[in-house]
Amino acid sequence: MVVSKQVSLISEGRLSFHNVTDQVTDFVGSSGIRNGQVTVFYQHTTGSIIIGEHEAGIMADAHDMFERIAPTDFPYKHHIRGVDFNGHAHLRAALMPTSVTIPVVDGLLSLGTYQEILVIDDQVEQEIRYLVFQIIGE
Amino acid sequence: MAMCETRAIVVWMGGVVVDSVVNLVSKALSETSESLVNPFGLPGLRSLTNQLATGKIESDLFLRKVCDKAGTRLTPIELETQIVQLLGVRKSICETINLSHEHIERWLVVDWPKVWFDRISDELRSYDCFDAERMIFLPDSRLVRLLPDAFYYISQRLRTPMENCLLLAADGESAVEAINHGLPAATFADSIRLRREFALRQLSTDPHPGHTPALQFDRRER
Repeated sequence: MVVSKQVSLISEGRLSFHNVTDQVTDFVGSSGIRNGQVTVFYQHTTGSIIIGEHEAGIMADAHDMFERIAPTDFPYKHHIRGVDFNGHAHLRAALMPTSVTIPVVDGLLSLGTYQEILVIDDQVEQEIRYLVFQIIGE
Repeated sequence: MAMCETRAIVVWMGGVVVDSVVNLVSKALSETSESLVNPFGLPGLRSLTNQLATGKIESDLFLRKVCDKAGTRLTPIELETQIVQLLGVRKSICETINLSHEHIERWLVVDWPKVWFDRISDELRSYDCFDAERMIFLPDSRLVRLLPDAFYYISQRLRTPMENCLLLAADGESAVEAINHGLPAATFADSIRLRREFALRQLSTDPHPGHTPALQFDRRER
């Protein structure tokens, strides 16, 4: 059986972490599937999804890391066309996954103690962002 | 970087013990279906709530500006009525905070206008979580900007160095900003995750959580 759902969140207009673990847990619970895999897919080019600990220190470190790798304030060639000015977001997203897949066992996500499903969004404006949850199993 | 002893837990009220002003306004507008824009993405709402939190504007002007921005037919008084109906204290959060060691001071940072805070003060008092003299009313502070100025203001009011405080922030961005200014912080999510955070930092009598199977979080609090 396959069940899919699209959900949305509002981006902050700056680098931000959104914990969607509970939403995915709810989705799995309502799907009727007890054993299988759930995929969480981010439908944008300026963000990513990771499995990580949602701890403020780690987020602060991630901010610093991303600034070193692809600084926000830089003359990206992406900006030349004058459409949007989020070159840093595209480059950071290119290094990160756009989806994660988690085993589902007996109706529960097989996440470890500190593992959470985190959307890292880097869009420079407040906009609606979309994710797809899909569970395959029995 | 070694962790300093935590002498005070500072709880940011809006978004932790109670709902945030942004969420209250967004929910109030959503429930009445009067807004012409997505209330959760209302441009400028955060800026207005920051002005409200620092006392730059009073609640009546705040509500007028929100109504204008949202393009709603609700009057400011009607919007406030909707908001008041949504006010409430998260009991499980207070109970979790009460698990912290007795020698650790518990402070509440109130980012609501007093007229709204008064509506829930009796309920808050009933949970015996915060002493009245350990409440910091940000609207009285007249801070120029909410963050990061509030972090320094809090430390000054507590007479405790920042590194000996732990801020329970309502969102990740505030927590990150606090950490970058030398104030240890944790992002609030729900009472179970908070309890685990306290145990990890040895702030409560709960044992270290260790490795456990996936937790069932209490989603009713969000």
